[in-house]
Amino acid sequence: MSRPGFALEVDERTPPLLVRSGSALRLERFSLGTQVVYAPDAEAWGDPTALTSAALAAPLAGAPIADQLKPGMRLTITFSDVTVPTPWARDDVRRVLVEHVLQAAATAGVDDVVLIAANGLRRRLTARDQQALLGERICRSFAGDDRLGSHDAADAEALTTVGVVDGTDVALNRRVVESDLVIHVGVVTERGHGGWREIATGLGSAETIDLVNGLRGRGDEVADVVAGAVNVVTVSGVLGQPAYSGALRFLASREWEWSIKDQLAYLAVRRALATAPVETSRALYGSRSEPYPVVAVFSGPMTEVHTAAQRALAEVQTVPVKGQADILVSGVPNPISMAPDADGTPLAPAWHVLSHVYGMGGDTPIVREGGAVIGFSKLGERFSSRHHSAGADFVAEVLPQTTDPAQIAATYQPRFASDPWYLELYRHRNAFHPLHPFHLWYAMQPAIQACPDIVWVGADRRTAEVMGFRAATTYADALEICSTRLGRRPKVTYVRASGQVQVRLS
Amino acid sequence: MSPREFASWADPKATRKARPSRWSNPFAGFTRDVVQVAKGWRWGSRPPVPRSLPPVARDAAARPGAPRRTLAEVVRGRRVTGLNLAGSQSRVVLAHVESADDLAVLMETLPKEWRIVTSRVPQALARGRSLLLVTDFAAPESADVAAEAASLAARYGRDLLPVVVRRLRPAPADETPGPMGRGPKPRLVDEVQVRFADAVRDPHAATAARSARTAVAALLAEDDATWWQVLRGQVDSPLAEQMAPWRRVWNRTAPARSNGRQRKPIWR
Repeated sequence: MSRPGFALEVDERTPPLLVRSGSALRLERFSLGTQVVYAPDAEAWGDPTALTSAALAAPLAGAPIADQLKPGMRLTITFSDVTVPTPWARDDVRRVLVEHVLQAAATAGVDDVVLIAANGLRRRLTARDQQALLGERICRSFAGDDRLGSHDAADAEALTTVGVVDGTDVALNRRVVESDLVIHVGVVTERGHGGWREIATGLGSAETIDLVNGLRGRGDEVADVVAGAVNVVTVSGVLGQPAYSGALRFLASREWEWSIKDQLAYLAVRRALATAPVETSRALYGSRSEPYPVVAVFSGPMTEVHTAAQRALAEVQTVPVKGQADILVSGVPNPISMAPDADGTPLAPAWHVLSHVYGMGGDTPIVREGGAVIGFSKLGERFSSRHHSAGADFVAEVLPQTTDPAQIAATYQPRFASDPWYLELYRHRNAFHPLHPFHLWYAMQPAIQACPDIVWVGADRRTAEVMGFRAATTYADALEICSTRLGRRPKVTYVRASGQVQVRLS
Repeated sequence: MSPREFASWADPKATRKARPSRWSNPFAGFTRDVVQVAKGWRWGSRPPVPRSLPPVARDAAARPGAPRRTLAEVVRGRRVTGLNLAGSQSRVVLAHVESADDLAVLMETLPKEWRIVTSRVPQALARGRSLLLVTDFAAPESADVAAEAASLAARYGRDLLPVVVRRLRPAPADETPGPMGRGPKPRLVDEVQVRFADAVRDPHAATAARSARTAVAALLAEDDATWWQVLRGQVDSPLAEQMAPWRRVWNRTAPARSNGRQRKPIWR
């Protein structure tokens, strides 16, 4: 049995703790009494093949997938895209899951099979992404016949309307809607992964996804419409913590357990990342993939699988923490799910801390209303012209005018969403959709509204100012800034976890 | 809508110098880092443990970086498919190889704990170790080797694991866009494919040997077809086709198909 996650209280024995700031690493001394949230250790490995065989043979409800497959039917296999999980998975379990489904389809004599990545507004998969995700056998079998591809949320001809919500058409991928059976293969590593929303936001039109992730927030209604429109069976793998290995093992180790080897590895990696040009460190550090243990595999109807997977995930991820903090402190790993390079766009690290980490407590935020957030990030603006063109213009053109989400949605969103160049980049150059930066900004708003002080350590001052945040040179300076409002003895919680955790506040 | 007012030290409209991308001084801050690490961990003595640490025993097997891995790594130039390392039971590995080089690649691919050299086969199996038998399935005597492997697997209750090594296949062009998006960079590298089949579990040696031969035939058929086509039974295995060994190698080492994309020659 592996060690569960826990909240450490910093005392005089605690060594300096590791903080990740995009590609950079640093050690930081935290004040006495700071709560530090550690993720569980990586669990013992499960056998994904055995787990998958058992899950497909015994679904949570309904008939096994093998019994639902008939010769002559139209079968579509959809799968969650390469941005999940982060860091990227080595030997992704989705390959095993999809191979098992294809094995069953071959046995049943199904000829018409298409595989579609449910990428939604995120970047469409390159051939290399497909290979990393599904393996060589599946890619060789299907890519050449145009039977393996990514969803295009901007291709009107490949979308079909299945309902209306709030006066907006809810449209889904045409192939998915017209299939006799859709099998959705996904991995669950975070609270909220999976479920009908994943289908809506992964295979819907840009307008449909905007209904879910935009300011209107009609996710539940859209999910109901989608659930009534398509026949989906799900196969989900629940993943544990990434098992960092080799030189980066110290990232997941607890600092007081660092061996001499770990300390030397930290020094070497820190110096290498600090010395090399950003392009080099991006290539070296951002392209790593780590092995993940498979905790459980479930198959069956979407709702049942979603519930069971979330329950299994909560069992292995939950960390009890004493009460809400006055100040939430968080680093930013690299890569993060919304950007292949966390230093490339300021929106992604801001989203990571203000939406992802802020929401680790579920309905109760990890920091109290009126508290503060301290993040470690450069808020770098080395935008990838390939991935983040719309994001670069969002930061350069929109935020200097206003940070008000309602104004942004009314004034700028329609123009970005219909810009032919951004859409060309999304459809054919593997860029994020132009609505993507808007949705990131909207997702941060609960934290921005609740916390008057949001300070970034080591950030570019101009970028922080444009985004409505503050910049500090050191962590001590950031605490000084927060102390003018929160006093000299605030309750601080630092989320050290290098993997995924869910916080249960007492 | 009036534009926002910014602090004078952070006005985004102010002229901004682009910082050149270059190597930094590798020694700047190095001493500070070393001192920080040295102070934090008290080199030479046992590091102190924070008091609030919950007393949970550490499981050595779950330590990140532990040698057990679920699947083989895919290494550039060597592609491994179907290898499942889960489970601790020993196996009888029945491999199709055509040369000493193939065998070397296979030995490098197999997990370290499977690599046992011994002349005492029954004792090794009884002790829970794995056994590797190699043969060329195109040769007539391969039937005896397969039968012996199946017999050993049945006698000791072990899985029979068919595997083939296919060598010298030129890989398709790398599809990474070149500088300025000028299309894929053509880069041909030799590729070795090591394909593992699902383990055969059959207490009857005769049927197990037949199943292993069928599995090897299917793995060989993937040379010229896709895994999906083989699965659907749409192609014949090269084992079913009588052909001189050199012709099989000749065919297999032909340049990879380019899916309709052909580079125009610069010189004619």
